[in-house]
Amino acid sequence: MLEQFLEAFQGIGILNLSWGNMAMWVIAFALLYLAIKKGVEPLLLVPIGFGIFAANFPFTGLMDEGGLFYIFYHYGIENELIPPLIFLGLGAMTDFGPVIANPKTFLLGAAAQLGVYVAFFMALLLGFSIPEAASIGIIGGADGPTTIYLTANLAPHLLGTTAVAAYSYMALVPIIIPPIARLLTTTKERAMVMEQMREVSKGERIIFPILASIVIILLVPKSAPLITMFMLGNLFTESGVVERLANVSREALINIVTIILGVGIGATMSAENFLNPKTIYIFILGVIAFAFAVAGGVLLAKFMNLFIKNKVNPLIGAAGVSAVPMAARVVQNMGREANRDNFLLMHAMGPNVAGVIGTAVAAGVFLSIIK
Amino acid sequence: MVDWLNALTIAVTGIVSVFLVLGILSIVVSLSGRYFIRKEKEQPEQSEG
Repeated sequence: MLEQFLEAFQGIGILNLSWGNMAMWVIAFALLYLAIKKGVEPLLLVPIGFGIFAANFPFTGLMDEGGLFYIFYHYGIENELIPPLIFLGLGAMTDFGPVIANPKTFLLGAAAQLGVYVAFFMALLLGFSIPEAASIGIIGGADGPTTIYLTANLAPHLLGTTAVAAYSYMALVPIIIPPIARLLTTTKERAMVMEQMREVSKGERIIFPILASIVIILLVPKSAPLITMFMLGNLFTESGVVERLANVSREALINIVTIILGVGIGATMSAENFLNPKTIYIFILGVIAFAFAVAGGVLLAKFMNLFIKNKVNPLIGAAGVSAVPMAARVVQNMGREANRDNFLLMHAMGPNVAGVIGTAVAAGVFLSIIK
Repeated sequence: MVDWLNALTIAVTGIVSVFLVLGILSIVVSLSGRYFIRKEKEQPEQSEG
């Protein structure tokens, strides 16, 4: 009986709480504070923060095989189910009108992937392996679900860190974009008013997800899980005949999977996974990736202006970093600062959604070569 | 030890693929846009005729 009592006593959580667990709680509380008090990506950081908090109690078995959080992680994230479902919802929310009206802005979304490859090489220089470097580089795409999808495939031990870095920097887009965009543009360029966009017909909107799927998947088949769901969600909305499916994709479904995704990611953040110098490197590389992504978009816009008749305001290139629609809003504000009659929001939405496609393509290429 | 040649191949393939995919998509969308615009212009003419 004494033995049983001692056994039960030794199984009490408080006696087994490590400094590492408590340090992770501090990180969890910091994320919860940022989300609740400062409004930083609350939809993701509240479940992630609470997931970290709950997973760092000793002896809960939440992340042991068969545990609740393990099931979220294993079936939702490791098996690649949730990021494509989030893409379904994002597709249903996305308006491709601006990029259809001005297709050259697709190239700005491509240029903004520069940050992915700069961070990839820098991560290699810091001693990360190629799969780890790819997972870190993709943070520069500023697309949370794609970052999670790629990291779960290539470097699952970095999942928590890359996901938190991606979502944190997405929230910091209003701080990251302006100094870089100002550095690379003149006031005259920022003040440039772009030609009014043409109206996009319903037929074009319906055909776009089909055309885009054909082009993208035929060229990069490994991007199919993300692209097919993205385009299906968009077709739900644009077809106008499956309003119930469009609604459930952009509301109930995306909310449910976001909870499972957030908790599942938070649960992977144990002290041994997170409390090491690599985490600091990943956060530094993440911000470098973002900075180069902004620079890539702006510089290509300036380069394109040397050849095209209808010039683009180089600021819209900065919106190629995805982070929809925040990056486009930042561009709009910067344009209006330079010229009160400048309305760049819809123009910036083109590279913004092109950036989402570009990052999914970059992830697909990494997968097809590395995995 | 990093295999730099492999890393370079991955990065170059990635950059080329991203530009190729979005470049082709840009051309395809541009062509389909022209088709739709032409069709829209033709429709009123036909109804007038």
